[in-house]
Amino acid sequence: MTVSRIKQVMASVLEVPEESINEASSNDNIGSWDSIQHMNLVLALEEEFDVAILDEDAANITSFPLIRIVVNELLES
Amino acid sequence: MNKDELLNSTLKNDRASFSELKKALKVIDGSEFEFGYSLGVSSNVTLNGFDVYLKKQGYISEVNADVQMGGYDDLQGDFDSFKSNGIQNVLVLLNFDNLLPSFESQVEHLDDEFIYAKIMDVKSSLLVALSGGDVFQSITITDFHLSFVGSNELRVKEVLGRFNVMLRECADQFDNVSLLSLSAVVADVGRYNAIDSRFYFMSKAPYKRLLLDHLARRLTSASRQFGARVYKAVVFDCDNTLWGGVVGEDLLGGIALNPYDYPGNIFWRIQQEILSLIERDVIICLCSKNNPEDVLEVLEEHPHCLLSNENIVAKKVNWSSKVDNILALSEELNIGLDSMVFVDDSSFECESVKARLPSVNTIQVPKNISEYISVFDTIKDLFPYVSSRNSDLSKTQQYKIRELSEKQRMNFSSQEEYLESLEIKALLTFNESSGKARISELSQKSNQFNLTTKRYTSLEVGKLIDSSTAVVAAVDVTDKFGGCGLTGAVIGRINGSVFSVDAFFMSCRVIARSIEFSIWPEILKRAVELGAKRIHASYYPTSKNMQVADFYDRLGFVEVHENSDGARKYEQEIKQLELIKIDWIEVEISDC
Repeated sequence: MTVSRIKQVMASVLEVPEESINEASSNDNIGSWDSIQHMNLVLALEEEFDVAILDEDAANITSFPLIRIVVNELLES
Repeated sequence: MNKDELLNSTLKNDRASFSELKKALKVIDGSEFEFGYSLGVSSNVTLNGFDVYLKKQGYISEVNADVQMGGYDDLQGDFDSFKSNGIQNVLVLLNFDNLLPSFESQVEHLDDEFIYAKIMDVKSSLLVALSGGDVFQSITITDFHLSFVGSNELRVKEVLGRFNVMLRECADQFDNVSLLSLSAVVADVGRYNAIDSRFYFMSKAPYKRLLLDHLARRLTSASRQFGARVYKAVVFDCDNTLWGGVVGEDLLGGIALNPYDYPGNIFWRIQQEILSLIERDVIICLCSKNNPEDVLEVLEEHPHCLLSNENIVAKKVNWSSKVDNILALSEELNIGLDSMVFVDDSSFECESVKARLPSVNTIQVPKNISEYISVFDTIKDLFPYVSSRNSDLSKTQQYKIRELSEKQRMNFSSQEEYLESLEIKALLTFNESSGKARISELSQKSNQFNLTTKRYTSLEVGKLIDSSTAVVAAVDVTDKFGGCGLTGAVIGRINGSVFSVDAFFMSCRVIARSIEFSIWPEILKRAVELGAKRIHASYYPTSKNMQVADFYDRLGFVEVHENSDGARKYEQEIKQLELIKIDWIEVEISDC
């Protein structure tokens, strides 16, 4: 459930098909994922999951697996 | 959902999320709005999402706003690109704290001479851009504001004030330039809601979305609904609008208009604001259900009434409906209903005018009277500021004298001349191991100014630095205001007589000053010293580095091959190269 919501947010912000997002997806292989869209992604994830992402994590969540880890941690805590 | 529903449910809904907003904007096809408006936004910080809010405000005003966001801190470059793209209106937003790294925190330790030099620096770069901006219909500059609260707040405010005076002086020199109070918008939403320190320090994006949304509203209103509206007149009710209370009941002595008492002080202040509207050539009318002689008595005899009968161009003081009276005023003054603003405290009157004369801009005096001041700010925004040239002579003379001395001091006719005044120095360091971590970091982070997008780890950079056949050139940039740190690197290898450039990347902070070109003669000199006779260089396209696709061509290399994917290869005798000359940058080689 969380995974599909993350994918939906990523797809919407980065303007890529949801089904194209997988374990390998990162800012290295998604062209639209630049520093501006990164900010939008962090804000959109915070909005979607109603969480506050820590500064360090906000800078580092540059791939789908990292986002999943951070969001899950926040939801569990 | 159809477009009208989207407009009402999402665009006009303050609680709609950013992603909902973006989705709605995509659905609403701008093409059906006949009136177009183009706006270029130039800033020294990242204004992420601002274009979305501007487009939203556009659609709400039934205007298709074509918004072009400029690059990072590249005023002149932005102006050039806006011009070539046919943009007609420009917004310049300079963030005070980002004029120099954490400027607010530095201000306390800087002497007045340095501050003055920085003011002059910002002023001259603005003047160079504005002088070439006469093709634009309008240029709006936002004022400087405080971003953080520190122990030195008073000192920062004092310096901020001086920067803002400078902005006013710049604006006054051009007919198409006006100021917009961003500081008022920051104050309206509150600094905590306005400033995003996380993304400011991480990505130079200091504003939260709430602030950008409010700024877009303010700009829309100041541009008179993106130029779709030109307002000429304000029609005021009298009781509880120009003064507190009802003159017919409370009589002359009973109405509230005393500058020393609440709520009279609020109405007195509003009258001051109305006087400033009159200075802007706004037509002031009255429309009030009253006995005409009661209203006249206030205007002529109340000791604190600032407005006089002469200030009122036309008035309808009678017991007829306000709708009929506004129609009559429109006819009498020969101005359209859509160029009129109507201000009244009564919900009943406001609603009936809104319903029957929807093209009149109806504004209700707020129930909380203390909010009247900020509501009135939005009315003032509807009328363009008239520059001080129309004000009294002595002030004009003062400006003239100051203008002259400054022209002598800094009469830059070109961007080059201005750049020259910055005393830019590029300090080149070859194969110095202390820079390896920063070079690696830059290679990882630079996307736009990165010719090959090769990413290096610190270890890899370290190995190259130690190699006798590698050239690792680090670029440190300074100007008369201080250093920018290590902001670029060239990495190449010498293979026999060939110098192959593997990577060239720079931080976006320093481009647009031609540093990227200035360093090449020294780099080639070093390669020749190491035995190179030919140079090989490449550009590999990514989705983010289009801006440097022709960098080597502009530098003076001759392209030998271009692949179908856009990759370009350059191979040339070093001796035959004719590089572009950059006279205004001093390139030094560090000995360390």
